This record gives sequence, C-alpha cells and structure tokens, in this order.
Amino acid sequence: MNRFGQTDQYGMISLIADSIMCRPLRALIAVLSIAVALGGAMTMVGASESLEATLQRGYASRAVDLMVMQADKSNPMTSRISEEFVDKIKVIGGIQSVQALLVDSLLLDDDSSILVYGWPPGYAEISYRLGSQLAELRQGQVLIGRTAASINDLHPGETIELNLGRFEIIDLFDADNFFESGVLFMRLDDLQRITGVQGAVTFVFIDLEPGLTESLRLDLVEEIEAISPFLKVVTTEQFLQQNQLSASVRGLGRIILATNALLSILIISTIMVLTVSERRQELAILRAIGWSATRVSMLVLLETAVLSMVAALLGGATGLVGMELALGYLQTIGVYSESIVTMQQVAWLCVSAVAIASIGAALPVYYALKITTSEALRK
Amino acid sequence: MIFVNLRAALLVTVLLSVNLMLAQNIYAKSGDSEKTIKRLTTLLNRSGKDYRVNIRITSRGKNDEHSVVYLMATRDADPAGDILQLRISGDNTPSQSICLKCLPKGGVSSCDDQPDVSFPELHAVFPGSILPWEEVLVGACGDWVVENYLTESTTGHQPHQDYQVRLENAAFTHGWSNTLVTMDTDSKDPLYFDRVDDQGTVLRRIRVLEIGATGSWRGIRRAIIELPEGRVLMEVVSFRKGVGKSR
Repeated sequence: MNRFGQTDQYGMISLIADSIMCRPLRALIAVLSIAVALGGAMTMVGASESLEATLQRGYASRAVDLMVMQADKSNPMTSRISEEFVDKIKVIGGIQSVQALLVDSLLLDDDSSILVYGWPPGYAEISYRLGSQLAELRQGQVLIGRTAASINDLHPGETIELNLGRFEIIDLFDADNFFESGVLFMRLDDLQRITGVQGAVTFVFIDLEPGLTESLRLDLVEEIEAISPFLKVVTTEQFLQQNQLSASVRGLGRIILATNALLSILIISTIMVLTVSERRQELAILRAIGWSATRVSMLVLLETAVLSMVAALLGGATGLVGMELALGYLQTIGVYSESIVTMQQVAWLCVSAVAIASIGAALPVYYALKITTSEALRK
Repeated sequence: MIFVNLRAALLVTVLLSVNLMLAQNIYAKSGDSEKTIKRLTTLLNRSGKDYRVNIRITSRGKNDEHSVVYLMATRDADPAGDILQLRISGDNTPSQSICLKCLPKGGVSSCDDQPDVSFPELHAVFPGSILPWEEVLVGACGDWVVENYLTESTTGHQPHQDYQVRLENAAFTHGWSNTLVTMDTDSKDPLYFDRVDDQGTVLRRIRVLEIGATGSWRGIRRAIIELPEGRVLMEVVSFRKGVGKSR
C-alpha cells in the first residue's frame, strides 16, 4: 500500500503523486507559472469575447442584419453620415425596416464617460410611460439604462451634465440587452447639438426582409453603397471584427498568452529536467525491473500533464476573476458587458494547458529516454 | 554531468533574476522623480512628429451658452519649423483653414506660402469657443521643460503640486508666469495644470480627465479648462500618427 492507500506501488499514479509530494515547492512554482500565463490570457481574451458576445446579443435583439456607416473610418464609433441618406436607403427593395442613430461617448458630470444613443423623433426608444399614456422625450430630457443608473447612482428627476450641457433624467429604461442597459438615450437633435454634428448619424441599422437570397443581399449592399462613396455596408459580424476595443483587448491577450506560455514552458521544462536528474537512479531501477523507455518517458509526460491540468484549473479560476475586474474597468469608460464564459473558452484553456505541458515535457522526456538500466548499479 | 551544470545554471539564473528585480526596485525608488519628469515631458511635447488629430472643443460660458467646434490639426515635422494646418469647423462657426509654422527658436508664424494670412491674436478667443488662442498655440508649438517644484509641505498621499512646466521657446508673452502640475500619487499622471501669476494665484486650471494611448503615442485625450469666462472641454476624437506628410 502506498501513502494514498492504493496498491499500485509501482504504478504511474503513485509514482507521480510521490514525485509531486516530495517536491511541493517545485510543483507549486510550476503550477503557478502556468496558472499565471493562462489566467492572464483568459482575462483578456475572455473580456474581449464577452464584449463581442454582449454586442452580438444586442444586435440580435434589435434584428440588425446590416449596418451602414462612414466608409473611411477605422473606428466605427467616429463614423458620421448624413441623415439624408437614410430616406434613400429606406426605399430600396428587400429592406424591412431601418433605424438611424447617432452614438457618442460623453462626459458625465465631469467625472466619467457614458455611451449615448441619439434617436430620431417617433422612435420607441425615446418614449416613456407618463401615467397611462406614452410620451416622447422633449429637448433637454434623457432616459437612462437601469445598469448605468445604478452604477452612476442616478435617479429620475435628477439633472445631469453631459459634455457641459444640462439634461434632466425623465425615467429609467429596461434594455433588451445588457450592453444597452449601460447606455443613455436622448433625442437625436439634442445629441447632434451637444456634439456639434447637425444632420449626422453614426449608423443606419437595416433589418432585411426574411428569405432574401445571398445574391439579392449582395445586390442590395451594392445599391446602398452606390448612393454615396462615403457609405460602407457591413454585417454585424464584420462590425464586431472591426470593434477596436474588443480587438485590442483580444490582441493584447494573445501577446500575453504567447510570452507567458513561452516563460511557462521554460520554467516547467527546467523543473522537470531537474526532477528527472534527481530521480535518475529511481528511473533506471524502473528500467531494470522491466519498464520500457516509452513507459518511463510517459511517466515524465504524465507528471507534467498533471501539473498543467492543476494549473489550468487555477488559471481558469483566476481568469474568471480577472475577467470580471476587466469588465468592471470597461464600465468606468462607459462600456457595459455581461461576463460570458463559452465552451470555446474552456476548450481553449485546456488545449493551451496541454500544449504547454507537451512542449515543456519534450526536454525532460528526452533525458528520461537516455536513461539506461546500467545506471541503476552505479551508486 | 550535464545535470550538475544545468542545476548550477538554474541557480545562477534565479539569483541573477532576483538581483535584477531588486536592483530595478532600488533604481525605481531613487529615480522616481526623473522617470515622472521624463514621462510628463513625453506627454506634453509634440514637436518633430507627424500626426493628424481631430479635437472637439465644447464651451460653456458663465451664462450657460453652449457651443461646439471641431479643430482638425495636421502636423508636418520639419527642421525649419513644423507646419501646422488647422481646419476649424462648427455648426455656428464659419469653416476656416489656417496654416501656421512652429518656429524652432520659439514663437509661431504664418506659413511661407501664405504670408498675407492674418495671424491669430494670442488673447483672442478660438473661433466658436471661449478658449484663448494662446492655449492652442502653446499646446501645439511649445517645447515644454518639466522641472521639480519644491513645495513647503506635502501631506501624505494627498495630491500636491510637484512639478512645474515652463516653455523653453517662449518667444511670445503669455498670460501667466508659471504652470504648476499636480500629480496623481498612484498613477503618476498629471491631475491639474495650473497657470499661475507672479503672486501664485491660479488664473486658469487645466483638469486632465483622461490620458489615452494609441500604439506608442500617449497623450491627454480629455481635459477641462476652467477659465474666468466659463469652462471648455477638449476631447481628442481621433488621432493618426505619421499622416502629416500625406495630407
């Protein structure tokens, strides 16, 4: 019986457990180094994917198939197109409905940023319940998403300052998606005036008629872009790809993963080489009692894999906490996102851990393969 | 043998890393002020670089009058003096373009190809705003030198005026005698720039709200300037590095 009450005294599990328990500090360093690598990367990649997924749900809830924006803008948020184009787009066949809006990030009470959507008159977004009837916002009035109101401690009836202009909060609204619950709605003409862009909108959202073929869809895109060279039509997927914030967070996450993974591979490789060197005689005895070189190297590989999987669990937990903190930071700049963990992220975490383990184990496995039975008799 | 060498190598690497970390920490403590001065100098000085920036200037006067104007500035770095092409547009402001040359020895002049174009008065207000022209000109053409500023008392972690910035190439008389910088003790970034007179009275306060980074560029993205006439919000809407020559 071994210390775990198991009978596989010469089995792999007990040998791996013995090795780890005999060198706890070394195992801890190996686990922590990989956990930090995976946790840091998961924080960034998870935050960017959460943001993208939240935006995607937002577009889905608004039934957005296509988006029209300014052609030469690398940052979609700075897109400004003339309102005149909206009427021309509306009459194109195959389009079920259009929504035009101006989006800007404004300074709220000299303190923080808030994303503001400006909607044209007649839109449901700028109407609120007044007694038993619906009323539309007048100039100088705004509606605020419930999450934004809660985070900024704002209430109906209060006056706020947006880019040095005063506005009254008329009511809170419940958005269909989390992203928009962190947004403030106002009249389009108010937002145009406060940002100095009369007659301009940021996007035109297009909902296509159901059952449109791909060819008709492409014709429709061409027809819209033919209205003016300043117009560009993108799908919501293309728009998300262009989203600079999530793209930069995702890119940073990949750089962090690459550099940290390299460091982790070096650390785990060195630690495992040291372990193999210390257990050289023990491994030679295993060879002498009949273990094949492959089985001995498998022992080393499995030990590395065990450490990596523990690190993946720890890194995953750290990454989740980090993701929450990163999304919390994004809220301070007016970007609201749900924390979304997908199966893809979990799979990616496991694959990364296995990759680090496999590459990190290469050198120790090589040394283990070189151990011969004769070394058991040397000391 | 190889394992003995490997173990020795690992030990040396670990010790070396620990030493390097400690040395860096010691250096960081002794060189904090120099690092902050360098950081602040980079943040403020823009000369010798090509870029195009679009700035939104929102003003609110004492009587609640609100106005917005956009300033698109394209800079061409030139050893004979950086060329600044300014395009001003706003809903209530006639669009206009002004070409200026930031002279290497200080001061600003009209561009060589536009000698007859009237030069903005330093104390005149920037079109469509309540911001004095001098703030735009010293911001664009000034070479700033950051120095330590000795305060009489510092109270723990409270922000205090640590540094002063002065114009190295002050070829024109500006309306203040010194600019004091209040730093954020945690982020080591500026919180306020106070334009003060000879008596130390704050004439104008520039409150830094957001510092942003685009690649290697780092600059003030959002700031409020508090003036006797009201407040001005300056926001960088877009910034592109290295596009000056291709305008």
